[in-house]
Amino acid sequence: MRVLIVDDSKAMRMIVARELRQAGFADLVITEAASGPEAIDAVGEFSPELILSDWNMPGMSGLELLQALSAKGFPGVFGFITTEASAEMRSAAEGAGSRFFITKPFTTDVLRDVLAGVVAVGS
Amino acid sequence: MIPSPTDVSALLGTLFGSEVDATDALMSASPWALALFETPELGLVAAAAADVVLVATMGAAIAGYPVDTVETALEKGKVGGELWDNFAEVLNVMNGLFMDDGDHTRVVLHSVQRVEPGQWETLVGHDLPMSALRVAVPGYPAGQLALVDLGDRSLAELGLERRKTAPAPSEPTPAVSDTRWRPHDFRQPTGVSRGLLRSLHVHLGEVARTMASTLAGRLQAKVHQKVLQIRHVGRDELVAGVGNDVLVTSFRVDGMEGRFLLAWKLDLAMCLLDMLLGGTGVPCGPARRPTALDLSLLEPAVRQVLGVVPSVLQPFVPERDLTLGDSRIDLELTLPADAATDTWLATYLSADLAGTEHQAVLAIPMLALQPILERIVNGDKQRQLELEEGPQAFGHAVLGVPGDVHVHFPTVHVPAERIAGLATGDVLVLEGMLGAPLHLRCGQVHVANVEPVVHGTRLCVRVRDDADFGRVDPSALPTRQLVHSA
Repeated sequence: MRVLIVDDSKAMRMIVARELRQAGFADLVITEAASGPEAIDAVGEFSPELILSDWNMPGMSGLELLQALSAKGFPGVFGFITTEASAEMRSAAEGAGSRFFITKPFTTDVLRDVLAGVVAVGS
Repeated sequence: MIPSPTDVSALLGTLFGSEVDATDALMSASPWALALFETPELGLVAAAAADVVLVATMGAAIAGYPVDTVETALEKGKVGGELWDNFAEVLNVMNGLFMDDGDHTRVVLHSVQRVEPGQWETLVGHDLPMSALRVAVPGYPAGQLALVDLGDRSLAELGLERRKTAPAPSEPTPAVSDTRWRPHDFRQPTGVSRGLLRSLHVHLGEVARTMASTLAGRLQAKVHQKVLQIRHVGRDELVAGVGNDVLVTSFRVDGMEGRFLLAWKLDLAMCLLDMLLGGTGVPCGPARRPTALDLSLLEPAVRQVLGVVPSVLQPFVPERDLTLGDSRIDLELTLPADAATDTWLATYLSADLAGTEHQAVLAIPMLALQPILERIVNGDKQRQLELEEGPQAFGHAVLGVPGDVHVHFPTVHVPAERIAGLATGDVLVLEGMLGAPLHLRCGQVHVANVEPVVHGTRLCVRVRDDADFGRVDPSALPTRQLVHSA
């Protein structure tokens, strides 16, 4: 599974990648992007099946990234891993096509349970 | 709303993937980094401040960097780059601590910045609710975290706006003195050098150990106490470091100036109370506010421990008779308004009682400590000067140093009602007789018996025949102890 992790924090990208591996997802190929524009470029080159994106990033927010990718017809699964937790944010994310919304900090179990509903889980 | 230590432990533990221990503590180190949290609609809601150790630790722990990274950064004094960025991300995630599940208010990180000089003192000077925590991440050095409820105040209200230009100096730069000696006021924050603090560390370590052995004797149990850190603090910093959920014993040492403070966390009080009642020191249930009965049980033991302070300090001020004065235990730290300009030497203590580590802080007013500091400083200076210029050199040098002399007038005890009702023309009868000598003193040293006289329009005193003047040893005067190398 090709996964794109989008977060302006390098440490947080490392954490998400580590938790993905610990959650037991099979055949992971992970690419990272530190901003919305970088993520758009990576989608063109890497064709990820799953994008895990932060919400608050300088320049282009995660929501704006989702809207831009939707406009381009991104076929994969997009979800947020963010410190945002308000009902309004969740609603806005769902409205824009986000499949899930994980609040930082999160555990391996939470990541596995949430993603199990939207992508294939390995052994 | 200030998050509990449990909430902080849980959030950081999840983020770092390890068991993080956050416990109530005293803020014994200056905050190095300050994060502000806001609700976009309401303004600032909270602040989090961390010492440099915790900044490095959290910056490394979130990314799984080895502890060497932290140690190297701290040794070199360079906690920046990725450690700083990672620390900022930890703070970004900590916004969840300040969200109230009930009202769904969105809280976001407003900024993370290095603490500018005076900024922390300004912030805590608003007497905002605050908690101080010791945060330990396994495998990394433990650091300190302070969480402050800002109560929807603005940056301007809190005095936290970043300075765009250097502030104009409020006072002219003092001219460089051409004299070799000058009076030195140790109450000023710059008055205690690192070398002096090292000397004090030794002496206050003795205070800590003697307190522990005294308590051990009373409890018939093992008690160990050591000095974690000594810092020269102002009023706001002292209040901030003591934090919430403390008992504060304030006491006087007769023969010294000011009120001393011993602040200790409620868990230590509960532990002590349990042991005084014959228990093991592991109290049932969480720490709670002590009742009047609890305080009556604690007070004799605490007074016995406090008795150590004058006895250990006595050798430094042999000219005075130091004894433990009045003491009281308060449920919170309250400093009188006129203490705003005072500073203290705060000694942060770690006490091992019944196998559990507790923290306390002993705050000694600098005014009280001044003769001790002077004795240490001038002892060194005297040895140096006499070695270089001969045995009389120091004595000659101090003769030119000015000292304040004052006249002690008789007093009288008057009921508050009478004081409040004083009116023009009222007469108070003092406890002294007309013609009786008044006492001229320099510091605590009696210099001469005097009588009031008038010279032109000036009030003066004249030394009387029965004066002791002439028998005073100049080296015994406080002026001797006020000199310091310029």
